[in-house]
Amino acid sequence: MSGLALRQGAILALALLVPSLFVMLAGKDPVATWGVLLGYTLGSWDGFSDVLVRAIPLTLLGLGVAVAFRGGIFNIGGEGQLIAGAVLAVAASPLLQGLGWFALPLYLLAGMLGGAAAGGVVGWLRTRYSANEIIVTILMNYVFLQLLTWVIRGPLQEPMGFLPRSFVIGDGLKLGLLDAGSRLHAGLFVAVAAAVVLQVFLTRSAFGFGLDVIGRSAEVARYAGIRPARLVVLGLLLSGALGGLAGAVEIAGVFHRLEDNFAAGLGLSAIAVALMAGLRPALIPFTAILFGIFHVGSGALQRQLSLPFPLVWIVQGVVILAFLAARAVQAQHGRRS
Amino acid sequence: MELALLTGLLAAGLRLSMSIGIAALGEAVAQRSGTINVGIEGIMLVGAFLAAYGALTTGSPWGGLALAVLGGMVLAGIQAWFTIVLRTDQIVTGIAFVILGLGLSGFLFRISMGGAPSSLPAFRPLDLGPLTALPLVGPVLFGQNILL
Repeated sequence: MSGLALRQGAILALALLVPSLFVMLAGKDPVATWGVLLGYTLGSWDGFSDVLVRAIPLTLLGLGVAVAFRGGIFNIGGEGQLIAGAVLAVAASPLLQGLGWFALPLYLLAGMLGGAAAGGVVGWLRTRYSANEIIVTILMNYVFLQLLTWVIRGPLQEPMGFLPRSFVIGDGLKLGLLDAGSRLHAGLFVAVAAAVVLQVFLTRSAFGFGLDVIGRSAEVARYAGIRPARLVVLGLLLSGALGGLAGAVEIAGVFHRLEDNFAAGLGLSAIAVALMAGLRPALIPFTAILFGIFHVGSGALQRQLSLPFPLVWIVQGVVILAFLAARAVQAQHGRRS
Repeated sequence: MELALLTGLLAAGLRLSMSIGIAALGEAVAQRSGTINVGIEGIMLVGAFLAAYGALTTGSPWGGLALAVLGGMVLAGIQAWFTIVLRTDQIVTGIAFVILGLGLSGFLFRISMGGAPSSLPAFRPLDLGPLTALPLVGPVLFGQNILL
């Protein structure tokens, strides 16, 4: 056991050392850098509330990734599904005026429909034509990115028609701030509720069990009377719906309108978030907070120490690799004993 | 369509297809051995940075090419060590390398070249004499740079 602990400790040290090397390459002191990163994100409410703001879409999108990956469906298209949801929700928003408190749930539902449609297409292509979902979802990301660039310069552009951004959604559709001094919004409750519901749904329902079975082996699933094709389509619909919900929440809580690049980087991070939580919905909010810390922390490092922001991607990449290595070492240990 | 326009379009098309074509060739090699290299995007990004950096420091595009190829091999080597020796999931590892490549290229570019575009020593178009002088076919097929 001590040998295992020692090797996992070494992996952790290496994971801290590699980004530190790049910090030193930029001529900064790594200890001070980690101090600023943790001090700002965990030691100040300004920082921590921003971490939570970032963790909200990461949680929702990460849950979507987890649903698909549990069924062995590699949905890399989270970012596209998020954009599809946000675009449909904003497009539907003028129709929802004057519906009172009922408007917000309908708006979020529109987001889920948009995302589900984007995910469902992939499910249909995979089951009907056995298309490789990895390639399809990667390519669909570009399709939806272009859709966004088009709608904010065309049909959904602000009435003034100057800047490439959409009109502002109605006041009734904005998610309220939880604290007037920060950007933290009521989407936090949506994210936490989604994580709880999915944890119960995926571990207690026949659908969740079936998804786990096809994730391990489609042959076994067929033998047990589970029809993989139906589950794949349903799984991708649910996965896409969560991505679309993330998009609608991000617009209602933070941006209040569509803009270029509002979703930049969320798709890749959400995959990492889901994987590091071991695809367990209940753990996803916590890994989302971890990646929120990296994101907000890198912003602070850029402002305070003028370290380039892409450092966040180096840290994220190294953390995922360290996580994989730690798990591999554990598996090797398990085989030997 | 005017001949000059058509020539320019076809030449540019062929030129731009080169980067994807070479990367696809690499992916095909990986796929033939039964592995999938999702991290190719990250390796391409790092390669692009190293090529620019190498060309700037050595003053020759060949230096950049050599550095980029070397860097790509190092990254792919680490990736192979993870997936083959540690037996980690190929797709997850690949995604980690996409993220890592995004960070390495963006971060190193900003600290080494200040993040601003600068003009670099580049490959010149080949001049194959009479072949290049052919209308349409000449510039499209024989007027490209040596990498193509």
